[in-house]
This record gives sequence, C-alpha cells and structure tokens, in this order.
Amino acid sequence: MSIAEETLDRIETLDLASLGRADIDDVLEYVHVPTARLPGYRSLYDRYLRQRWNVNELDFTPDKVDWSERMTDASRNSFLSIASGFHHGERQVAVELAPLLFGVPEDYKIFLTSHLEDEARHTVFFDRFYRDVVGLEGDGIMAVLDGSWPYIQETFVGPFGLLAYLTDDLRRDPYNKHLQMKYATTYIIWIEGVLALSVMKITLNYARDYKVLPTFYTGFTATCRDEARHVQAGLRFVRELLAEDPAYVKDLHDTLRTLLTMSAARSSYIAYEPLGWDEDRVSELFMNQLHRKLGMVGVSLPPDMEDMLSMAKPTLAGG
Amino acid sequence: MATFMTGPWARECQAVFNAWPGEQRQASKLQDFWDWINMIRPFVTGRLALSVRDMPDGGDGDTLALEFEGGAVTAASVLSRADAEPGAVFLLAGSHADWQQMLAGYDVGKMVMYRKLMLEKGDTLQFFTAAFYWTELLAAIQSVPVDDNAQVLSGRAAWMTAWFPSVRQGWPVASSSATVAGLSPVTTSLLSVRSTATGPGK
Repeated sequence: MSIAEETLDRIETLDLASLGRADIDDVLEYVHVPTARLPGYRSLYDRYLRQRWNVNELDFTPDKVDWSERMTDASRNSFLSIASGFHHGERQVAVELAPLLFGVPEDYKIFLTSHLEDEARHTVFFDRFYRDVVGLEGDGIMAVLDGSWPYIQETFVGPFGLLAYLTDDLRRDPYNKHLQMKYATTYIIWIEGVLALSVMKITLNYARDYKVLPTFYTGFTATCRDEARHVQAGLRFVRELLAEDPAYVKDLHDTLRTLLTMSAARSSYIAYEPLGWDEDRVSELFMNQLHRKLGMVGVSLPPDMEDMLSMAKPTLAGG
Repeated sequence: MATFMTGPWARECQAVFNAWPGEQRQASKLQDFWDWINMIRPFVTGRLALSVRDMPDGGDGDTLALEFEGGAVTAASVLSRADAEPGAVFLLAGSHADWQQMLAGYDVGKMVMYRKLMLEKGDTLQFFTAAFYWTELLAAIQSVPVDDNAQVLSGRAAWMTAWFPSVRQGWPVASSSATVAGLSPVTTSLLSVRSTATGPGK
C-alpha cells in the first residue's frame, strides 16, 4: 500500500475529534477515487453508519474567541462572504434532494436517505456556527439564514435557483432519465463537486494555516468527508446513466453550458487575499475540480465549453 | 400610482424596465454584471408571462404578459392566464401573498430560489441561461409603486428585521474589466428564447 493510500485509509476511520487534526488537503483528496474504484451504494451507506458525527458534540467557545480577538475585520468579512454561500447552500441541497429518491435504483435510494440526513446536519452545523461564533440571532433556521443573506453574491441564485426548478421538474416526472442527468449534473457535479469542494479548500486552508477557528475546522472537515460519500455515490449514478445510454451526455453538457453561462457573471468582488488566496488561484481550483469530477465519469468538455470554463467566476457556495 | 395587475401598471413596468438600470442600481454592482446582462439581452425575444395563482378581484386579469424583442419590452398587458399562457415562452407563477411580499421589497433572488415564483411553462435550462436578466426584470417590477400600500406594507414587517452585521460596512465593490464579451457564438446561439416560442411547453 502506498503512503497516499495509507493516508486515505486513515481518513476513512478517524473519529470527530481526530478529524480536527487531519489535513484538509488529505480529506479533499479522499473524494477522488479512480473510476473503477467508485464504491457501491450499499458500501457508501455502511461508511455513513461508521462516519456519522454528532453536531451537538462541537464546542465553539475557542472559535468565538478567535473570531472576536484574533481575526481582522477584513478576514471576517472575506470569511463570511465565502462561508455564507455554504450556510445557504446546505439548506438548499437538504430541501431539494427528496424528489431524486423516487426514480433511482433501490440501493441508491437507501444511500440517499443518509445523504439527506447529512445535509440536514450540515445545515445545523452552520446554524450553530453563525449563532455561537458570528453572533447572529433569531428564532429558527430561517431567521439565521436571513441574517447571513446580505453576504451572499447575487449570482448565488443561478446554480441554486436552477437546482430548485430542476427539482420541480423531477418531482413532476421522477423517472425521466434526461431530467435525472440534468439534476445530477447540477447537484452532484457542480454544486457538491466543484463549488462546495472549492469553498472547503479555501476556508479550511485558511483556518489551518492561520491556526484559527478549530471547531469550525473540525466540523467542516467532517462535512467534507461526508461530501466525499455524496459525490462518489452521485458520480456512480451518473456513470451508470451514461453506461445505459451514452446519449445522456448531451444532458450533462447542456446543463453545464447553462451553469457556465451563468458563471460568467458576478455582481460583487470578493477579497480572497485576507484568507491567503487570490482570484487566479480560485479560478484554477475551480477548473481543476470540474475536470477531476468529469474524469471520474469519463466525460470531457468540448473546446467551446473549455473556453467558457476559463472565463467562469466562481460563485463560492456549496452544500 | 397604478393598481397591481392593471393595464396602467403593466405599462409602467414596461417603461421602467426599458430604462433599467438607473444610475444608482448600476453603481451597486460590478460592471461585469451589466456586461453579462448586455450579452444576454439581444437573445431575449418572445413572451414572458408572470401570473398570480389566486388573484383577488380588482385587477384586469391575473397575468402580466410582457412581449420582448431583442431584450426590450415592446408591449405589456394584463390578461387572464388562459389567454396569456399559449403564446408564452416562459410562465412564472406565484401566490398573491408572495407577489405582495415581492412588491414590498422581498429579495428577488429568494423569490426564485425559494420557489415563491415557479416556472410553470418553459425549458428550465434555457430559462436559467438568462437567470440574472430575469431577476433584474423582477427587481424592475418590484420598483414600480402600487397603490394597495396597506397590503404591501403589512407584508414588509416579517422580513425587514433580519440582523445585519456591522462588518458588512465597507463592502468592497470595485469595477472590473469585462470578460463575458469573449463567449463564443456557439454559446450565445443557445441563449435565444425565440427558438422555443412555438415549441412545446412543459
């Protein structure tokens, strides 16, 4: 077994407290497995049972001290500009998932019940972070979401509005495999596979390198490991659809064209520098994440879409 | 000041959107954003219908029908949904309560994301190819004053109390060079809504 494989095996078995000491780059790498080794749905469900963590075990007291005493206004502002996309993204992917269960293979249905529970728990994780660390107040999940909304880029409604409307399409016609492919491309490949993993890398690299927000680091790293299961199961589903009929690749490409067209817009500037990043590195990360996910399902982009990707301005959000 | 879902209100919506954005709105976003809108604009042709599912008495109908040609609204009227829908490329519909909330200033992005307006006719991918064009349209409609203010204001209280962090002040909004103009003809040819104007609805 190589050192890399040993590291990935170790990530698989860490408990919540130990995840706080894991390197986020190793956890992000854990998402990516060769196509031939994408686990089965039941195997991923079993992994969920072993890896499930309790969001109420987290104590945000050290993070609150970091937030108010060790972070600058600029870094708090940049952090909120990026993390708020995840705060809202988690809620969106939790509430939009259920209609996918209706028409997918039986073993994937079982896995998706765990996926749904994960997303609800991630939503609560961000709710706790915004209440206990940032200091938002309000009755219920939505009140706190409304509190972080001013930090959301207006372009957020692009991928997440599309997901909401595709969810309606799928709810009306759940066995339509063209719709399933469009939905999976938006949810699994784009939102979870590209946007979410980009946000995780930026915010968690910052927390690691500047040695701040240890509880956020722990919970969000655990979230990242959960996302690995979602992405692997979702990519397996996409690969199975393509194996059944390669013509479904048109639905995947059409969906990415719409997403990339929207990604050419941005309404406000995010200052990445206080978190140790710059726009060129973020764009490179974004492109790399998409290429790796497409590689896992054996799909490439035609040249015009590669050009669109090179001009994309990431809406940093996820779920 | 016009009454919601009447002919005068529809014509006011047309005038406001054709002059959109004003200086203040334009300055609130990066030039990149408006370059993207201008890239999309020429391809927006056909009818968009905006409907109220449970419209009470008092209007001229339940659906605002906007006719677009190259991104400009060339005609605006209020019709019944039965009359407006057949010729529409896209139809968005919401409840009267949600419409009132939007007119009172509720975020237009949330109107879409939380499905307060649902796409009940038209191709979803094609609709979202022009996503921010449509949200700007909703913002323009939202800016048109209506004379049933009591109802509008009663809808405002519920969402205006959101906590607003102090670190938000000094938000860095800067001008930036446009890059959207470089999108290929292959891409932009997909944006036309005209191509589906006579196609099957959902």
